[in-house]
Amino acid sequence: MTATITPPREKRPTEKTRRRRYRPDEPTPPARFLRQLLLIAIAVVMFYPLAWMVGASFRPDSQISDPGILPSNFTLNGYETGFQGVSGVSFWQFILNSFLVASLCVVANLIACSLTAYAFARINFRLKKLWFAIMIGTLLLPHHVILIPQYLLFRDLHWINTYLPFVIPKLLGTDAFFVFLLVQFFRAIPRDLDEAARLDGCGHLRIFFKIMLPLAKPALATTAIFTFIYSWNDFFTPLIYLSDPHLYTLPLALRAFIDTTSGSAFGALFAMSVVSLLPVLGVFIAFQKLLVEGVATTGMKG
Amino acid sequence: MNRNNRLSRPTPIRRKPLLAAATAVSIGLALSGCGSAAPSAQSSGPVGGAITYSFWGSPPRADKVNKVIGLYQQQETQAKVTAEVADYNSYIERLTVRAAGGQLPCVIGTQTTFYSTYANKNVLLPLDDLIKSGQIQTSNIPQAVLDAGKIGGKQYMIPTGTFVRLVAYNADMVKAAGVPAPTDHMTWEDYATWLKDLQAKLPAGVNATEIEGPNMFSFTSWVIGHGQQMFKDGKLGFNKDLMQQWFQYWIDLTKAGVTVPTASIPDQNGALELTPLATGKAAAGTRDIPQFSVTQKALQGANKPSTIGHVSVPTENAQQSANVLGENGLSIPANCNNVSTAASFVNFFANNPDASVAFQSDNGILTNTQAQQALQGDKATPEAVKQNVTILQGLTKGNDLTTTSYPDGLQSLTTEFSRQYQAAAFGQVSASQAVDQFFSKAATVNLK
Repeated sequence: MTATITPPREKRPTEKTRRRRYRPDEPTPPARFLRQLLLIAIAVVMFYPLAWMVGASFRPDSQISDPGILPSNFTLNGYETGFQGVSGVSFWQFILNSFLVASLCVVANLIACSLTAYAFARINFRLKKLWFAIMIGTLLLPHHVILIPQYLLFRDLHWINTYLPFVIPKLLGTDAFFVFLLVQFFRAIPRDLDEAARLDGCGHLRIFFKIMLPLAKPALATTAIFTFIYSWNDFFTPLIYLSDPHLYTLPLALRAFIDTTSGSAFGALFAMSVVSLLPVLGVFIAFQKLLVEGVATTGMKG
Repeated sequence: MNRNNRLSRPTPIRRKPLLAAATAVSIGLALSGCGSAAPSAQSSGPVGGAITYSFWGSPPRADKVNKVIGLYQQQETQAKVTAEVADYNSYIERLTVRAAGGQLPCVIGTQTTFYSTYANKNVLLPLDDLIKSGQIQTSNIPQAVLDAGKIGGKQYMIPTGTFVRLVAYNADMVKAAGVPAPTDHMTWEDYATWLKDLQAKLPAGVNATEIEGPNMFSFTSWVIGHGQQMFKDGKLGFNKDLMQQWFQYWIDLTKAGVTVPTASIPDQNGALELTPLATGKAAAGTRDIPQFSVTQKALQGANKPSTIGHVSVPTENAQQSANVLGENGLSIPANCNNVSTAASFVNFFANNPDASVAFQSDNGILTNTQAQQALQGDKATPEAVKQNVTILQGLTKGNDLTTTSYPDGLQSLTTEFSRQYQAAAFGQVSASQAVDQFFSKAATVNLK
């Protein structure tokens, strides 16, 4: 008879013991607790201005400097006054105008920047690197340097007091940042795909529309969202080019609620700020997945 | 009215775009070749057609302007006026760029503190012919006030509203502290003593005064009260010592705990309702007359002691008033293609009693003496507005007003003045170094 020796079975770690094992780089529960506490504290600090603004929108003008979030005297006066608008024009009109301008800018940028980016990423042409450098160089131009010449040009084209100065330049692919962003994305797409398409008889346009654009959705979404936000928040361009209050966009209307030389309507200002924030928030929430993906895959993250 | 002067609330950071634009306008004006002094349209044509009136202010002012426009269009049925409003800083930025493009609206709001910039570059139309022909009547505007709209003997602005800067104090707080109220024509030393006495008896958390140190408009009063001039022959008209004394005066008061902290200067530059005086954190400051009611209203809303009293700005010579007068008014740009309608609207705005009642002296106390009477006689005129008119009339009668010139490069100097004061007050440079730097900057600015 032979005796068999069975090795002692290793005791399987229970859920409890398994939880107690931490890798050296893994924070211990107290450290993790402290870290989360710190993050929550930072989040509260970041969230406070927004919460304060919402609270202030329900506060009477006389208590507007109150640092608390919840209003002690709740009022809807800010919203009532705000929606009455400025200079006889309803606030809804400003919202509609902003939507129109922001939407047109998004469409224009998507078309022009993607086409320009494709050319830089995939087509070989003379002095390509120089043109690309010049395009990137335009990012460094201070806005005020081109302000007057641009104004004179648009004046001669009779575009003052229209939305054309906002949209038409975008159709020329002048937003260098977005061109650069899309170039980076296109460069990351394997060339094998468009070469295969070329073997199948596709020209540049079909490659662009059938291959590149569908693959570039995250970058296009990023371009669209940022363009929307920039246009929505742009104050200076409308200030310079729009004179008819019926054409005013939201930032102009919001600014009209305050004046450092006379009385200001703070309640209306904050109430309408909350209203004007909602579409941007909506756009961001709806497309945040694509936005993050776009930023992460174009090498634009810091 | 508004507080109207860029001198009084310099905010260097926010004005970067403005400064850049202001710099750019010079280039732009040169490039575009705009600004021919010759009127671009007949000034004697029929009144009619569309014009735009651009001005600064908040929605309540815009509502009043729209009422005036409604009245005007009832009278001139062929004319259509569009109102274009923006807050003060934005208004200046827009004006600057449009002036460069020769695209200014036919009627623009102007102010003594900045209109010379445009008049000197021939952007504005001289109005003398329109006055001579009777299209714009000025007979009810006092000559001294009218003269504030002249440069080189030519009338570029029709003054419609006056603002005068005085010492404003919270009379309820002063009374509760058991300190006698300040008096007219104190010396600056008397004023400092009064402030220190007041500070000793104020509750914790309240300072006797805001800081006037960075405020070039208050400094103007200091200079004039010391018998010097702000500008002379295209240069600064005061000496370095006087400016250094001003900086030191306020720095010392701050060190003594009499003023709000230096870090509160941005609050002073913000909206009137959020200034230390209007939030009950300071018991005194300087304000343009029409701003008293805004301050009082803000204090009332916060259930704080709210009666605002006023006295003349201190001066070293009781015979020399330091209450500096400024004017807001209307101008017609040289590029206007409908001068006759623009002139008709300016005339209506400046002279029509119904328009005056509708506008309620919202941008300065009405300059037109008949309009003042109409306003005071109207039951709907708020008491505060009537009081403002009375205060101005009292100052005029007592000859307790003074004027100063407002040269071309004033805007950039105002910003630099505030910046240098803050650098000295925060201890980054000495008061003497700050003054030297200001004078160096002034040497590069056109002060004609």
